[in-house]
Formats: sequence, structure tokens, C-alpha cells
Amino acid sequence: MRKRAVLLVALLVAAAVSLGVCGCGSPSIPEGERSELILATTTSVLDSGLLDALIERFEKSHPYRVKAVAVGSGAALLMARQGEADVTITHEPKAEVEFMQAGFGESRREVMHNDFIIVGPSDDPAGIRGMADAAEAFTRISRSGASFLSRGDASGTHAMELSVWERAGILPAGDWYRESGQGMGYTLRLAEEEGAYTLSDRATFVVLDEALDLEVMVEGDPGLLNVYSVIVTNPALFPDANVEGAREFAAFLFEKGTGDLIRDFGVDRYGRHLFYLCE
Amino acid sequence: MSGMRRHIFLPAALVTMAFLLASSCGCGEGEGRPPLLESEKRLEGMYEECRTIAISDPLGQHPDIDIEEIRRYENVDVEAVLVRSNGMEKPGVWTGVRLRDVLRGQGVEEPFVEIRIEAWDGYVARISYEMAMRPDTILAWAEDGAPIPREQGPVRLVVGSEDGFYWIHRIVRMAIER
Repeated sequence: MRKRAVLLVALLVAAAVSLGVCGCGSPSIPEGERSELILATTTSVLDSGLLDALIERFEKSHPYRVKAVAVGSGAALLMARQGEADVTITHEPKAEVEFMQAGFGESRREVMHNDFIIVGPSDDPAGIRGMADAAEAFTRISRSGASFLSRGDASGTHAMELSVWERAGILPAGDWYRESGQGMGYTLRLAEEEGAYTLSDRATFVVLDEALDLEVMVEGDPGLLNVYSVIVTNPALFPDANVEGAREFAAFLFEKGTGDLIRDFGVDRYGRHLFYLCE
Repeated sequence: MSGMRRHIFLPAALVTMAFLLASSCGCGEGEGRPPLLESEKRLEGMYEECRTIAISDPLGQHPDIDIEEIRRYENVDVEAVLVRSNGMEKPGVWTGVRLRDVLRGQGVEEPFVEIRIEAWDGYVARISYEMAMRPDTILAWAEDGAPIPREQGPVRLVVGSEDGFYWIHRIVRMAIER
């Protein structure tokens, strides 16, 4: 009887331990059979939570260990240009096209999109709430002297912001225009503190929305479309690149199951889609 | 409670409590504070780890160098323009030490082909020997008289002759390639 009691407790302990162990990697593919795949991507994919979900799904059925480096789009493409990344997911179409034209990539496909939004303080000093034209909204902000906080860090978000100023025909300068020089989370929190407007990708804003006293002011401008593309590094230039892994990862992004994951990601937790598939 | 039941119930209760406590730890940043993004959470510990830079070389390992030692080299101000990927230019004056002085001080033989500079977050940039030896290539800790943002680490590379992709920050390793 005593032995049976001890056995029962041991079983309970084993069950508790096995439930508490996190599932890192697939138990069906031994670690020794996985090769490293370097994926350079952007912080918005990481911060939304989608990056980890994609990697977890990919590693379950593919013999790779993905090393994800989350930096700005420009930095991710530079890594690939130097042969330091096997595959990239970025959201700076102009730089991506230049990258391909220069021969650094074997293939480029648009995977998913969301959008950029202008967010700002609820009292909306520039009166832009509900506008659908981002350039007009930027014009109103600059004329009103209301504060605008830029990322100012050469990220894809910063590049999008500058393109909107360019459309508006405005070179932003003055006390009202400041740069955070840092990532989206820091920039959003600082914008809240300073009562400033800023441009954000929707996914990152949604993740922080509940904790921030900022509101969506402008959305729906077609020019604010935020498209993410996957590029496989050109093996002709970088023979040491894990091109097989890169091709498999790129193909994986277009599998139906992955598409379902991307499309439905965030709905349970945030009540809205964070990304949409490119058709 | 009978002796047998006590043998089962008490340990099982303890195990369950331990499991519940373990599965709930580590969540949240505390009441009233905005949550950190994943990329921000992963920066925990970065600044301290970037206080020491490893230098590797096929000819033999060199001593790691920490920030205090770096700052003991001749301090210089470099006026440069940070050119960003979108073409925007940001002029400034960066304060630091010449990279070539640090490499020579650490015993790196010249010439070499390039340096593969690794950042804490996995970012890598390669700079050529010629780039590394320029007087306007420095390890900088201040910009326009103020410390560089903490997010960039204790020092960042400033390569006055090149665009911003080479201005790597959060440096943890410099690998000499020959």
C-alpha cells in the first residue's frame, strides 16, 4: 500500500514536470540533424508575436534551427547583401527591389500585409481624426504646430513616414518635429508622454494599445499599405548560404496551414487580425 | 486523515502548487507599467554584455577589451554624416577612439582582409581593412556631446566614409578575417 502511494506520487511529479516543460523544437527531428538557417527580419514581425509562431511551426516539420535576427528592414537586407543571412522578411519594397536588381536575391515574394496608421493624443490638437489621406493629415499636423514624433532610425516605418512627408511636399523640421531614434515601442510610449502624433505599424500598436493613451487618428490610406516580402539569398553570390533551407522556409510561408496561421494570428488575443495574406 | 491518504495527498498537493506557481511566473511587467515589446524584453542584459568586446583572429586570440579600457585610448571627435537607408542624412559629431588604435593596442597584426563585427542581437556588418584603418572610423560613446542612446549599447561603430548600415551598435565581437 505504501509502495503504491509512493508510485502514485512519483507519477504525479512526472506528469507535472512534463506539463511544465516547454516544447522547444520538434521531438521528431533530433537536434543533431538540424542545420542553422539565418533569417533576418524586422522588429515588427517579432513584436507582433508572429515570428515566434512561424518559427515554431516551421521547425516542427523541417530540419532546421532558425536563428532569427530582428533588425530594421535596411539592416536585414545589408546582412543578406554580405552573405550573413540566408533568407529575409522585410517591409521596404523600394529597397527590396533594388536588392533584387543588384542580384543579391534569388527570389522575392510578397507574403502578407497590414498597414501603417497615424496615432495621436485623444484631444487631437491638429484635428486629423477620421481623415483617410495621410499626406493631408501630415500637412495639418505641420501647420498646427502639434508635436510629431518620428522613429528617425532608418527603419521601414521611418521610410514610410518620410514618403508621406514627401507626398505632402513638406520637409519636416522645427521644434514640433522630433526623432526618438529608437524602436516602435519606445516611440509609442514617448509619443504618449509628449502628446505627440506618430506613425506606427498596426500590429505593434495593437499589441500595446490597451496600455497606451493614444488613439488611431488616420487609417485606410492606400499609400500606407505595409507589405512584407520574403527574399531568398542568391546562392550564386553566396555559396555558403543555406539556400535549401531558405527555399523551404519561403515555400513554407505559402502553405495553406501557414496562411491560416498568419491570417488568424492575433484574433483570439486582440480581437482583430494583425496581418492579411497577399493574394 | 489516514496514514496512507496523508502519504498521497500532501505530496500531490505540494507538487500541484509548485507546478501552478512555476507556470505563472515571469508574466507581466508589474501593475501600471506599459508592457514591453518582445524586442525590448530581449534587450535585457544587453548593455552589460556589450561592455566587453571579444576580438578573434586566425593568428591567435586577443584579449577581450572592455569599455573602460577602450576609453583610455586617445579620444577624438569625428564630424560625420550618418546616411540612412532611405537617403536621409544626419550630420553630427561623434566622440570615441579610433578603431585602428584599439586593434593595434590589442596586438592585431596588419594587414588583414576585413573585420566581421557582430552585434548582440545577431546583426553582422563587415568592414574592409581600409575602412577599419581610416581615422574617421571610431568606436563612439557620445553623439553631439551627449551619450549615445542606451539602446545602442555602450559604444557604436562610426564609419565616417560609409552609410549607416556599417555604423553597427551593440558590438560584442570583432572577428579579424585574413
